[in-house]
Amino acid sequence: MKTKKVLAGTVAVLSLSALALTGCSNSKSSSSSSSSKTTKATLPVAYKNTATAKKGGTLKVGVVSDSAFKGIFASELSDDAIDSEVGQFAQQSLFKYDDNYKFVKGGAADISFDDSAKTATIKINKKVKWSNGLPLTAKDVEYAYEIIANPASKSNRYTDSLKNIKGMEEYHAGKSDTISGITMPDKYTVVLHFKQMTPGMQTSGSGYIWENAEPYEYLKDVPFSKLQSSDKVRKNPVTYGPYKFSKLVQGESAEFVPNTYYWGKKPSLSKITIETVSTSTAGAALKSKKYDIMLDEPASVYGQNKKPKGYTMVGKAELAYSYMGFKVGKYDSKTGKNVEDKNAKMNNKSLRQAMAYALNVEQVSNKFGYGLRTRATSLIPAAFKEYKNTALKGFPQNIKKANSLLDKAGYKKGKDGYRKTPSGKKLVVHLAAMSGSANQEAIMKNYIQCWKKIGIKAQLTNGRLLDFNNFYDKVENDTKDIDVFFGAWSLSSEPSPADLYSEGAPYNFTRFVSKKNNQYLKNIDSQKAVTNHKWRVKQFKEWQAYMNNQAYVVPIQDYYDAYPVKNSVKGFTLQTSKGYTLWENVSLTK
Amino acid sequence: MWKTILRRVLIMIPEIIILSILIFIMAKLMPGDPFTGSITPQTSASQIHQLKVEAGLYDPWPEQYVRWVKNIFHGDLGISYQYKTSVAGLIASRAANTLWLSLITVVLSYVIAIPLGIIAGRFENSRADRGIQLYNYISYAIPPFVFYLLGVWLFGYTLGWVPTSGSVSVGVSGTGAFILSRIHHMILPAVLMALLSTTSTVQYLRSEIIDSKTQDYVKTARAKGVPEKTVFNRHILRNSLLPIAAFAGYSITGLLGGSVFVETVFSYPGMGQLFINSITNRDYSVITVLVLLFGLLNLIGTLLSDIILSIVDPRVRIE
Repeated sequence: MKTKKVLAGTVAVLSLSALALTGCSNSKSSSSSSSSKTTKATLPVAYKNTATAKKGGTLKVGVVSDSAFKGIFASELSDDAIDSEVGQFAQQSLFKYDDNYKFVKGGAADISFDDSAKTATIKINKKVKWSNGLPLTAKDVEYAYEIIANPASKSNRYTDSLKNIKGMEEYHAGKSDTISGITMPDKYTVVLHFKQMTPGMQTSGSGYIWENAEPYEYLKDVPFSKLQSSDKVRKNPVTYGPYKFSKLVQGESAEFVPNTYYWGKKPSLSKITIETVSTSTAGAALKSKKYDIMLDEPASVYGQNKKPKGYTMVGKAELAYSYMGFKVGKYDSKTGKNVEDKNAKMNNKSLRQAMAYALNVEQVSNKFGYGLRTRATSLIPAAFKEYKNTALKGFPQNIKKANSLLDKAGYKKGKDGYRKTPSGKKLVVHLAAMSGSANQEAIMKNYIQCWKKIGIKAQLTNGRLLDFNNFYDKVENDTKDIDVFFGAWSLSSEPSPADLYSEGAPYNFTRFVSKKNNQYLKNIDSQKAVTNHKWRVKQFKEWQAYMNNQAYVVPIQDYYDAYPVKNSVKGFTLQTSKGYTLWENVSLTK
Repeated sequence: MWKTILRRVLIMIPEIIILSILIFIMAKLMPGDPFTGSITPQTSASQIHQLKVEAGLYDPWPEQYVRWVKNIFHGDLGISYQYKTSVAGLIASRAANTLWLSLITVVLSYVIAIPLGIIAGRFENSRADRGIQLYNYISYAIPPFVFYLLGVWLFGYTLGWVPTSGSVSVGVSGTGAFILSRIHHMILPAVLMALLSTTSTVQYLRSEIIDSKTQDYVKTARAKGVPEKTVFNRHILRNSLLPIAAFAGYSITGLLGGSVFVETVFSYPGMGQLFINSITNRDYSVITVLVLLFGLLNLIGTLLSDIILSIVDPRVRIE
């Protein structure tokens, strides 16, 4: 759930960046070079193994990472992606969801909403027990909210969305000992009282409802301030998923055995082990068939070995996209609002559109994406099938169109072949991009060449790629030396774009503000959208069209994930609705 | 000699203070902060801001520095922003991993290098000498990262003799099995590292032995009719070991430095990996303590080297 950190590890993986891009550096190539179609990987979402499953066996899972995992197994306190990968066999969320991430009945708890009373009622399945044998109770659900909201626990999961629960802010400020908007009518029922209902609430990942519980009886003796470093969270976590932690080597590996108290289907494996594999050896690990399943396989490893022997590849669209943003203002931290500067260098729609049309994103995706990256067409990734506006084409490379846009807008070419601003001043665009992946520099130089073709002079901020921290430090603080930047977002399963593009959102990094945009975002999260889903979807689609037209934020690439699964594994699937009960269904064949 | 040692230790105090200030300022000068990575649509900027305020990151740096120093004197090295656990505990666990790996490496490296150096020096220009020289050039020239990758590919993945990642198997129980598993995990990285780190020892030893062979005191010994074996062991070898002894202090304190390459390739959680990750994640509390620790170790290493040299070489006396 992090901003896409594209760091490929500190030690540069032997890079193949010598590959040159020909798209824009070759001035002879025709202007309509977008003829090359992106060859998208078409991987099945599930591996259907027809062999008979055996009882028992050890499932070996490798997770590709160049750093040790942090090892905080309480999602209220951890924001580490690898931690949740490691913990997934034991940790289960409260509510089951369908393929559109909408809550459905049948999970460890069921949730229902009452729009007129502005409440959500959580009914816990009485069969659910923690791995220490104690039942999952309403107190455990409430306790998770307390961990997040108590300032002593220093959780960064406390968000504005959670403040929508009554009494949350008072509890966070220390004015009350309990959260008044969370009531427990009986041992297995929790009622959440909201200030207002929002359409995203009924979807997993919206942030309005916390979807995990923590074992209160087990943790109650640990003060909030000591929770994140306590052994009960780090070394001996108590969970209620199909498997439970049996052994843990901090930062390296973990072993799981079936949770005998599990409420659902009895899991069939006798053990699951997971360990980290370095990026540099992931390819060798696949060839030697060391792991049954590999998680977080880097695109480059997939590119080198698309069909590893003995494995079946499965894949799924990621909830993420990369984008190009144009800086057109500043964030005023006093008023908490973005302020757009109408006179900003990049505040010209034709200029932005032209720069977007100039890029050969399709070629870059083909060359360096190995089929796992495709040119994005709107700011809602393809993973959100329902909300994606498929009529939009995005910005396929079109140098002619880009040139004519600039000509019409009055950006005239000077003697040096570069364009000047409509008022006749020199125009140099400063481009900020993150270092990390081995090909990034080649890609950015290629984009600069693309812009040269339409007469736009661009140069890298600081003359080179910026490291992750440096990049976001500059982008967040609206430093003067950035006009355009390349970033990426990884999204939650509720696609409301308000957190990223609204007037008050600090993460609206381009700082653009418009009445129309405000209206769309308001509509998407409005009361009307709670009851009228079709109308909400329409707002989503119109918003995407509007955003593409304004081109403040240009969608660049959609992401696709590939997972190698060994042929002896049965029951592995990436289908969203099956994710909830995935591990109880995975087994090994004879 | 004790007086000198004491004086050297006393000089270290201002050195460490200056070092600590420099480290602190430079760490703070790095763009970004530990919370930069927490920017996601799922976090609120206001909460991140509050966490930064609580961590005192908006205070002027002298204030932060004084607070940090005060805490150190209270035995509190701080909490790692990244790992959310005490810095002391974090470094201790990584240091233990690194210490054992380095120790095995250093021992192996001397076990390999000293006999090779002796053979090469004693039988100068022989076939054995030329073979050793060749090994030396190759081990010096080969990029470590490539060598480790080759090693893990061959012995780890292809032959399957040793584990490919981590410091211990997750499934082991019992102290004996635990220790065996640790050694099993360390043996390949240690051997590979040792093979690459012998160059200077072999080369020093060889050239010192060759030089010593023509020294007057060796000629005298031979003229006196001292047996060749004694001449070599007592007169030549002892003198030739001096430069190696001079580096021994650094070797001892260098045990904690860790190697980023090996730790990355073998997913071995040690000090090198921790150091680099703390820098990329702006984990100030860990960075400052680590750099200070490395600085301190370097100072002690210099002192140790001088002391060792004075013990093995009676001509050198630190006064």
